[in-house]
Amino acid sequence: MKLSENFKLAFIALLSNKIRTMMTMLGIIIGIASVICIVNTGDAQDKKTAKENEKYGAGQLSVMVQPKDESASFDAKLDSITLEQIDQYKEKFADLCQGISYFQNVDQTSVKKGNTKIELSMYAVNEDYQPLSAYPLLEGRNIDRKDIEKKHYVCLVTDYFVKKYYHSTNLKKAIGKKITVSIAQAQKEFEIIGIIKEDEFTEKYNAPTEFMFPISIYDSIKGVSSPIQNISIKPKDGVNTELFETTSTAFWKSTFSSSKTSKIEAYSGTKYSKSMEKQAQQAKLTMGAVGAISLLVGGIGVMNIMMVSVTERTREIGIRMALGAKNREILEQFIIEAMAICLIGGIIGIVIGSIAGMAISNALYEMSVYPSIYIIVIALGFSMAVGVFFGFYPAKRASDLDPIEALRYE
Amino acid sequence: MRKPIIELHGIVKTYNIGMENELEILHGIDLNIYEGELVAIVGESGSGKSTLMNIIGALDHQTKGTYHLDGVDVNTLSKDEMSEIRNKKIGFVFQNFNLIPRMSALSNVELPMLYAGVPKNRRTEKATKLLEMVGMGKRADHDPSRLSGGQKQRVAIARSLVNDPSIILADEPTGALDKETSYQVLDIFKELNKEGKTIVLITHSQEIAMECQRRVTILDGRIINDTGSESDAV
Ligand SMILES: Nc1ncnc2c1ncn2[C@@H]1O[C@H](COP(=O)(O)OP(=O)(O)OP(=O)(O)O)[C@@H](O)[C@H]1O
Ligand SMILES: [Mg+2]
Repeated sequence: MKLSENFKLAFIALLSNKIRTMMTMLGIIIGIASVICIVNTGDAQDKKTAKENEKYGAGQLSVMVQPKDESASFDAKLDSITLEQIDQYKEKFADLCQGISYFQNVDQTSVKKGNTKIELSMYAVNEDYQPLSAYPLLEGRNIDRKDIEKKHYVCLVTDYFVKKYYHSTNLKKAIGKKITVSIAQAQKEFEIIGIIKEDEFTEKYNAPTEFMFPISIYDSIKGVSSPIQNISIKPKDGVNTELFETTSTAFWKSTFSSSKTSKIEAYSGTKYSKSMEKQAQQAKLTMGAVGAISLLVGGIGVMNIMMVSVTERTREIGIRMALGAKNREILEQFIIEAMAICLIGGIIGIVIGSIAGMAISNALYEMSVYPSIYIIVIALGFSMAVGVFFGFYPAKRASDLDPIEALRYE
Repeated sequence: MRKPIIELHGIVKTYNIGMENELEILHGIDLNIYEGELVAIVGESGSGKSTLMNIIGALDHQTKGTYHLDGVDVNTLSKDEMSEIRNKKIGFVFQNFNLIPRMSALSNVELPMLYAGVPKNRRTEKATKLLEMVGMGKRADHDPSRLSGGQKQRVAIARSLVNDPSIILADEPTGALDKETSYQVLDIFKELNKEGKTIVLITHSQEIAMECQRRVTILDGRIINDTGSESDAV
């Protein structure tokens, strides 16, 4: 007898007792739905984390100057990283390094135009800062080495700033405009040379918007050259991050090995995101176990109903055997029935779980992902396996019946 | 001389062997049935007719004795081989119809062909033809629960014929029917017998039995009378 035929028979049998079939499926539906929902929410979270990592510079190596003696007072004088050292590094690691960024956090300030007051978050930056950040350049050019060396009064502002300050969406027109801001009580005029893309959150939470200018200007305004004690190194795309991190860390540690007061600490975003990933993985596993347990309970429910069904249909089994059904064919029939229950339950569970998962991740992370084909195939395979596993015993009982006894059954 | 198609020798059937309520139902049945015969088996209720029929139909095993079906010792066959014989060689018409509930008459008739591996369209074609032959063509899509006793019996007869068996075993096929319907059913069997099928028919009715060439009477698990077959007489 053909498999498709067997499936058809199974569906007819299941349709003849719709309510019971539905009740039996419930356990499987809940089990599959919860697993799909959990995995889907987890995937959405992963995607969100990945997006944030990208933005906040995961994959970059943070190199910091720290006191050698842990107990040293907080304001102990530390050595600085010099521009020569940075150039040395860049030369040596030309193959691995995409750039080194450093900046000074300047006090917040604000500019006024008419009635609108715009809060600014001021950054004194080097030439690599913007290219390595998550803020793409929309218009104009970036601050370059020459701007820094020649102390040009130039700046980068955001599209959000342009919209608010000039009431215009024409970014090109804003290039070359002059704008006066106060830095360390001094009024300074800057020329806008580039527009970067604003973070979506700024407008939403009315946060200060970024304003970037050459770091050398800050030094001259303050009258001292600001020490470089914290740099971020970004590897080139596709390089072995482990190799990049260990060799870079070794370079900076050896550079500072002769210092009496200071040493180098290096942190990588990948290490950080790896431990986060591990945590998320563990959470997923726990939740997955919960789903597996509900599937187990669902499977036992299926087995229970199949046992009842076999008992109820003893006579039918006897008739089928008397008409020439082989034991294997009876076994197949009941396993396929159990499989069909689980398969339909699984499909319903996948639909419900996906909808729930996407709704939950929309609420939690303001984004959602479609369930992957991969997980759907696994879920379907798993529900069929549950059907086969829990259907086997009842089916075996059915196929082991003696035809005469079965026919005699009242 | 024709060879017997059914050859029973010293058949004993005991139920509940080794238990307190051990019960010997058949006490050594010797019976040869030849190809093309129409045999009536008569006997009181409880005399062991159905028990014997189940053994002949390869549904049950005898406790003692030998049974050769078409020259093959049925005791030596595997379960699957027995299934095969029930499916292809023997057409069963049960005492209580044994139609599967919640399945149309057509599907019930198709069932033996399903297990024989006949493709769907051929199954439907043949089942429809046979249902028409027994006068049930208009009720093919009815559930057994919506059929009368006589109608169920006719569906059961149609079902017994679908795989062209050489032997038809009918257990009280007219038991639940009125006289007129009984004769209609009997006519179907006579017709099939004319076509060459061997038919064993269990009945309580002397009138029905008298219509058959050969009558075997069973009492308390023993054959007490056999009108004999032409072949035996030679
Ligand atoms: N599985 C069993 N266990 C014990 N006794 C059985 C079993 N099956 C049948 N019997 C007994 O065997 C005897 C013969 O039964 P059988 O069904 O063969 O009678 P029958 O001649 O067909 O009767 P009827 O004309 O009423 O159908 C009965 O007394 C019955 O109780
Ligand atoms: Mg009987």
